[in-house]
Amino acid sequence: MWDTIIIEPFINLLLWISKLVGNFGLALILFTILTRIVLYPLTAKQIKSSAAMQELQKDKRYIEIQTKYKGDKEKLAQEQMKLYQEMKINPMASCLPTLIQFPIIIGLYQAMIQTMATGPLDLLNLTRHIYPKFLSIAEVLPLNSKFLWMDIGMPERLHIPGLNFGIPVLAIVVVISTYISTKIMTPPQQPGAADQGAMMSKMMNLYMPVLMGWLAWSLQSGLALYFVVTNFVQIAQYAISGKVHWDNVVFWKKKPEGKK
Amino acid sequence: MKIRRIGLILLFALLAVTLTACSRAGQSNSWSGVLVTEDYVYYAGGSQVTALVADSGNVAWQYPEKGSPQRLFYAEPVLIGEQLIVVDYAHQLTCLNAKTGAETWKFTQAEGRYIDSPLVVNNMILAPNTDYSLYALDLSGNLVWEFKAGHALWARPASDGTTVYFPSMDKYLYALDAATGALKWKVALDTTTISRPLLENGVLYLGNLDGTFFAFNAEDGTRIWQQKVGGGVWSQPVLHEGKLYFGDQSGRINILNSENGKSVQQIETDAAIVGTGALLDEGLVFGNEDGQVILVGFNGERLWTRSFDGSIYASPERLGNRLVISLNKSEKPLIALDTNGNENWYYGKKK
Repeated sequence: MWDTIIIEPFINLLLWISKLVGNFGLALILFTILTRIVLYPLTAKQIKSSAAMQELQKDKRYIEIQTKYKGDKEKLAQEQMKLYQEMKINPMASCLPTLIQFPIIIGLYQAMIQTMATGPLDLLNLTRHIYPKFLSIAEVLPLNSKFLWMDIGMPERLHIPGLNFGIPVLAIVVVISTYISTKIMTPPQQPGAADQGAMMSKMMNLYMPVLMGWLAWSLQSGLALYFVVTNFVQIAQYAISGKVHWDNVVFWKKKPEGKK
Repeated sequence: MKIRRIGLILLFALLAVTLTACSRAGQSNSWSGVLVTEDYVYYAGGSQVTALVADSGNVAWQYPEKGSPQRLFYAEPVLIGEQLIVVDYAHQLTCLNAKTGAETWKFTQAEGRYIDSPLVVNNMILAPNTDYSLYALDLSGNLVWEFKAGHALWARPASDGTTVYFPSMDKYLYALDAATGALKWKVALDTTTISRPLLENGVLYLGNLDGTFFAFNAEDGTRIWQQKVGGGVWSQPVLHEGKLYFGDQSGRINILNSENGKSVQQIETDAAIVGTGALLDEGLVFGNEDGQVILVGFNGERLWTRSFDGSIYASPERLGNRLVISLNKSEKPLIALDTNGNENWYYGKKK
């Protein structure tokens, strides 16, 4: 069921793009951009809802409620709900688009792994996923998996003459771009809001790039390429929405008082 | 807060391990290779190569002593006297002492995976690699020549001693001078081909993933005939008394006339056949993806079928009265049968 609805259409689309452009690496980039564009309405909704939540946190009444009912969680929740209704904010609205996108992104990830078919069993399964009326094995195989200096099916390393080890360029780019994309999406902290949530988000901003970097270092370079493109597209989408917090990454600029 | 931080780090670590495992990077995606000799059964079944005593199935040695997911062995080992050649997914071709498993030498210049095992001819090891190269080594592991094709090489070559023949995923069949590696000719195969070619009486037989089976003149590469079968061809055919026997991805066992390629018979089985048939006195044994071992007589009659848990992708191997099959997704990944299909011993989880 999952394979039929999600994986197979993705695999065939990916193979079709690869056939058109003649390179699997390029196909991966175009495929990632295409899926991000298709998912953009959901992303835009999520950005909008997050912004509304941020605005709410600046609201005088919200700050008052936080202080007043600090020790009574039940009452705090009730008052917060009242305020949501008053300001016509749905706190779930920023989570729902993410939840809808999640299976698509997982499917995308699985489709890419299966399409890269680096062993006989993978290839056997891949041939079964191809829609025979849409594509033929003769047209789509073999995949041209060489892209720039990398083989899309293998972990990426750039070998420079004179160095006896390979440099994981893509993993480094993944770490940097993930750090930037998470930072610019995080709103500057409000004065006095150094609560546990803020601390958690600070830690997430730190650990997420490390996790993504580890995955990019150890997995096929096709996946690392997908992470990089996703990060750049995400940054672009936030920039289009005007919700980018460049202050968070421009560390050499002195931050205004009260901002952390 | 400290506990939360540790919890978060652990969560991320768990996520990293899970995602890495799910992506199966650097992992299997293949089936085991088996070599059966009088004394030992050599089994390349993942992170280790295991030598089992042929009569009992007891482990004689394992190489490396501790396996790792970074170094996986799936291609059938090759025996040259007392040297055993094993290849892996970590770019290495290793020569072992066949009796002890001790490492003798290693060739590490390849950049890709070794999907299939090398061919040894005229004291030369011919190893196909996914880095598009065919490596020719002497028996001490020194590189004699290297030939770069247009794409990855997944199939063991065939040779008559003077010429080496192999298909590439670039859809061509290549013929090289065995001594120098110089290209003699190459012909189009229309679709990606990963099956081993069979060279018999100056004719090369092989099939592609689109289900087209070819016969070529080995001298100049001219196409003698071609025949369409029901599914992709993954393995080398067996030639017996003028007939070619091979399975295909649709689950059929095809019998073709080797002279003109005309279909003599097709025997339906329930699942894909990707391994080569093993020749017995009464017929040929094939394994299929449903875990069935099927003996087909030379006239196409089914003589017996045995069913096992798991999937059979690798070719059944026969020596004397012993038939060894290897299975994927099974608690008994290696089973030794007699030629009537009765189990002698197995290697795997002992209950």
